[in-house]
Amino acid sequence: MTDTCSLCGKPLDDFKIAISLNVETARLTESHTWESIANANIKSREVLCKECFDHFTEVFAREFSK
Amino acid sequence: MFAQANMLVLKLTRDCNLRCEYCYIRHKDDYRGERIDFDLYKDIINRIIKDRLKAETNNQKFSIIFHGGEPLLMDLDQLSRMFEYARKKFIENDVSHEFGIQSNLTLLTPDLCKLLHEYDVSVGMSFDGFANGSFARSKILDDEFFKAKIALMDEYGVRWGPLLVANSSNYQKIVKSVDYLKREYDAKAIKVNYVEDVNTIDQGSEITGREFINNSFIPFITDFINGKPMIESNTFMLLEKFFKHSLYVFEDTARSNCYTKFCGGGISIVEMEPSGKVFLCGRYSENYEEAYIENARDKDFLDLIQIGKYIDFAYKKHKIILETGCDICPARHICDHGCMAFHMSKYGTYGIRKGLVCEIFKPTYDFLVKNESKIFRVFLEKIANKEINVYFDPKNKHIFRGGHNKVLNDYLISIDEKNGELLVVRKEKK
Repeated sequence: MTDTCSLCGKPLDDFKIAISLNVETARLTESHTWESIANANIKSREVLCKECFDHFTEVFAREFSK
Repeated sequence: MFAQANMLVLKLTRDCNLRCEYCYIRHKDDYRGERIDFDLYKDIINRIIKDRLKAETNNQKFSIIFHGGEPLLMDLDQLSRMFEYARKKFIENDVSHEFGIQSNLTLLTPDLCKLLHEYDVSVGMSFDGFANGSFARSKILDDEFFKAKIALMDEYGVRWGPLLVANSSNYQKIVKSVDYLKREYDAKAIKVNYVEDVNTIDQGSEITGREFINNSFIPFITDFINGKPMIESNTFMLLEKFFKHSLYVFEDTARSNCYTKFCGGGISIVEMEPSGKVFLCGRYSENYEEAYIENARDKDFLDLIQIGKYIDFAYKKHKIILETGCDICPARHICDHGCMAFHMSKYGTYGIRKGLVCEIFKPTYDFLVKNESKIFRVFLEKIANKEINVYFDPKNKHIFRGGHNKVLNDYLISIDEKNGELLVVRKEKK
């Protein structure tokens, strides 16, 4: 089965990379315990071609590795 | 956008043929003739499919609620094309789905009933009670009107469930209306919502918190512990929160839609205007910039815009909860901490109406505590008899508060490690 890159739409016919962002959120209550916020516990996902993945890693590395 | 959600509330139009006193949509006259564009609608359906497949959530049920304004202002052909397109595309792409529509029924015809039945669209009936309970909405909505519309839906096999909005002109008729629906129509699910009048800083068509609980939560809970079926979904959710928290050490970590401390507006439930604009919730009376997320046609890599907006909202609510002192309130485990969209619409800022919210949840909590043993008994019996299911987060299994309530001693209780389902077996009496 051929998928498409979820960023550029190019058919994924020989290589694909799935990336996920897993967000877990908690608040510190007045009684000093961490309380999870269920609706803010989120996992999102993209399936990328090699070119878009390279672009993604390059941008993230540049912006968050300063 | 739709990967995280279980429901899309899609406003086909904000136009409406009624002018209900308490309606939170302002400037309705500005929306005359507004209808969703079919090309945009197709893009929305395609986006749902793409997002669900990408996130591998396509096997989880996704609901589209066709909403308004009044969605039946769309004509029969338009609705037919929309239902057909969505159903065909969802089936082709193996996306689990269901359809609903929220309507005042004034425009419901036999042909529309045929269509709703054909596409298995369940009808949320905006109905504020018998004995002229809907007169705050329109004087044409008398008892005969609703009986005729219910008969029509039943004739064509259309599934329906009523939504009652508690307001100053109907609140004393709510219990009788719910009883009537149970008795005469064997209604299985009814919802009674508290809705704030956002059109005035004064009380307007609102009722007080006390009036609400005395005419909704308290009588419905009393019926429940006396063995009657619970069909009002907000009261059941409240009881479930109380039962689960009493039984368990941890906070409930399940995702949710409305009426929870951190509601799922904008993330678990996506509400969209006819223009494709998505806001945190459909209950904002105007298009507040603060609540805007994105447009259905916008790209949103890794849902970053959506997630960022939602967490920003959660952070604001967290701060408000701290300021209000809710963390040390005994009722905090059942409280929804107020609707932020209504607060923004009414006062122009986020906040918690202590006078209202505390008046609903503190006395309700006291009532629940006084009746804890009876509530436990009914819940445990119903679970043991497989009449209801209750789920916990399976990650936090095996940790109960212990036998603080003697009723628990009569049952063997565990949590299914796979799905978190509470398993209850009645102990044999010696």
